[in-house]
Amino acid sequence: MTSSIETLPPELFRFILAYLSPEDTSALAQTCHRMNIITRDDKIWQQYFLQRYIFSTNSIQYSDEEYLPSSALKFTEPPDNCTWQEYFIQRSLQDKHIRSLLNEIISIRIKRIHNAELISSTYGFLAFDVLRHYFSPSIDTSKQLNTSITLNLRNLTREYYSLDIARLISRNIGLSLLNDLKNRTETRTEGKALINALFIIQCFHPYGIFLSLNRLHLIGERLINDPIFSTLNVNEKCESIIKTMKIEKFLAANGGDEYYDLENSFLFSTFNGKPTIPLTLVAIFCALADECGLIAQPIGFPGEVMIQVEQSLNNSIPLIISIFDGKIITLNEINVRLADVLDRPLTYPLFITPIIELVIRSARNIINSISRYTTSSLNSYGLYAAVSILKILGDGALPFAFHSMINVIKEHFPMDIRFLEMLSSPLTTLNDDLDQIRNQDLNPLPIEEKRRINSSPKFYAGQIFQHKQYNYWGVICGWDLICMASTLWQVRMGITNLLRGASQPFYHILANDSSRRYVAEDNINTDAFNLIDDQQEKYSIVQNLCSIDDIGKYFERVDVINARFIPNNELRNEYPDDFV
Amino acid sequence: MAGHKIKLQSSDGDTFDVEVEIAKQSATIKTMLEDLGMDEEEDVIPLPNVNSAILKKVIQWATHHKDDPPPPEDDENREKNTNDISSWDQDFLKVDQGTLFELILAANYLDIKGLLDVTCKTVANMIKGKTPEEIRRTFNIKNDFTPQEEEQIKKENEWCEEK
Repeated sequence: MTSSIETLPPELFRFILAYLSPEDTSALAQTCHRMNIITRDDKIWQQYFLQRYIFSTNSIQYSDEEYLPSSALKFTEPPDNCTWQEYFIQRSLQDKHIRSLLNEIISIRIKRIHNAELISSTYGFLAFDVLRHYFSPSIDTSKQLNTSITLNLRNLTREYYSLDIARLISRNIGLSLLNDLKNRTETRTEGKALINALFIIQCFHPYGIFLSLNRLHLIGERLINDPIFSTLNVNEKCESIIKTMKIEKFLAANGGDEYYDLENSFLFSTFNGKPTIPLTLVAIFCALADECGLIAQPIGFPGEVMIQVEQSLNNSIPLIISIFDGKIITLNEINVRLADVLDRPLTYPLFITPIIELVIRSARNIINSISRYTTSSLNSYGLYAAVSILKILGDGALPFAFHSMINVIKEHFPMDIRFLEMLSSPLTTLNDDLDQIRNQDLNPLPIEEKRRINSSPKFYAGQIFQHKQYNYWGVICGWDLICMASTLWQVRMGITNLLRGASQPFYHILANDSSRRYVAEDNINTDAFNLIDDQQEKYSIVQNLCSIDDIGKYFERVDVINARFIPNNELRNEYPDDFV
Repeated sequence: MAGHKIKLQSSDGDTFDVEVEIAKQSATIKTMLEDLGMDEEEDVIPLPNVNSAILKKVIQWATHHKDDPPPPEDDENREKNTNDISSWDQDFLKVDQGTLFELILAANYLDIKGLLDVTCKTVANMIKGKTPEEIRRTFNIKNDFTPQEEEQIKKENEWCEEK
């Protein structure tokens, strides 16, 4: 008898199926009875499932016991006694729904907000498993490939909306975690409580979804597995943790500009080696102490946060650590340092600061940073986080922040109108605005066509250019035949100094620093790009332009050879003469 | 001990002289040698599940791969690559399907991980990206579904993305 696929024993099929995609295995299952049975091997389907999916639940709850969002990352068994194959199929059908909603959001303007909210509320974390495949390669470092072919192949519009929706989901998870925190009757202050509270703030960061706190567990594991560590007393253990934090680049920021940087209020940059504020370092210390079996809790002083570590003997006084100084200090030293702000010297026992209070403190830090540096691109995200915290955990948002918030949402987070609806009350005059946004989502105004007149303007949407005076690179994403900005703006910008003043075409452009600007035709140089000889330099300019935050809102692809961004349908409809 | 040889006997009675180090790529043979202490040149290892033609191929493969580093541990949570078959292996596996499946059986019986991997990858590549009908044609599989069953099974597999 000769061997064939039909005589191969079922147990050997597992080796072959392991090399197939679930889709290929499904095709094989449809060939005959025997294959249909063999391909039901649930061990293989478990493998397929774990290869494809990272997230196991749509939402998470605040926890002081395990790092967020680990509870959404655990796969033990499929739910409801179903097989892995059934579970896989169930998720695939959900994926299909998510993809079809995403495609609708990309291709039609109607119900964009509605569909994005639907993905977020129905699927939450589960949608990340679909969306993450479409993120830009500059975000997902696992798929960085440096060839111009991949640049040409990128679908910028899909990257844009996928990330936008993932961020919306992340913020919604942040909001629901804040509500969890508020509704907890009992909150611990030690262990992972604080770092998880800071993770909530992180949910509002544009790249918050890419942070894993699990690194702290790995660091903690290394510490306790060191045979010397277990022989140390509490004092020495704390010093060892402080030393380890320095090695792992969890560093204290110096005073001044570095200290007040808004990034410091988010864990993301701290976990990428940027020096940060004491509160963040305190949270990391408490988590690492917990990994090592110590009880460490935050103590807030005016303008400073320190750590109290319990000693093992009941009668011994706790240790106090100033993480900013990187050392253990005495109560006396603290009293001397804070003499000016304290009514009377502190005595034991010290007051452990509740987690919620520290989160509110963090919100105040954020607002402080924003008012110091008004131009940071992170400001809108920071404001969102701060207003949410103050609204949910505090006594209500600060009035000034609330009004800035309305504008921030309208401009930067049009998908987040539900948040404004949550904030609005009959007392605010916001309701008309909100109704208008909802109505426009259901019935968007038609796009107003802009036609070229004779051969004006000279340049086209999608063209790459260099600014003649400031030398930055940018992409044209729209134009007006004459300057449409206010007279005030024109005066401030010195438009009259230009050769043709305000009566020349003006271009809406995206600059390589992700800012949006309005530039006179006199200042646009489109030849500069073609005059570059070095292909590598050209390529890196284009790559840089592709990573502009909003690029995908207007353009679908980039044509590297012709130095031109290819518009998506919306832009094409607005400027029909530009893309013939 | 380079050059030291043992004899392998196929199911149809042919014997092959093989260097011990080459033969030991088979975990089955390695265990036999170690457990039974069969290291005398006169000893013959019978392999009743492998015929001459296949054993010859297996020895040819093992000889070519005798200096390979041990294959890496499998990571189950990573999608497996099938595009990494060396050109020598590709040429080696340009055989009829009967031989290919015999090689899988032999690699499994002799427990030669590298050979099992590369043969299974080759079969996987013959399946990848094909429709059920194309797979049937490739492997000469007879469609034994009734039209109703076929309809039912097609429905069950509708979760797949359209290609």
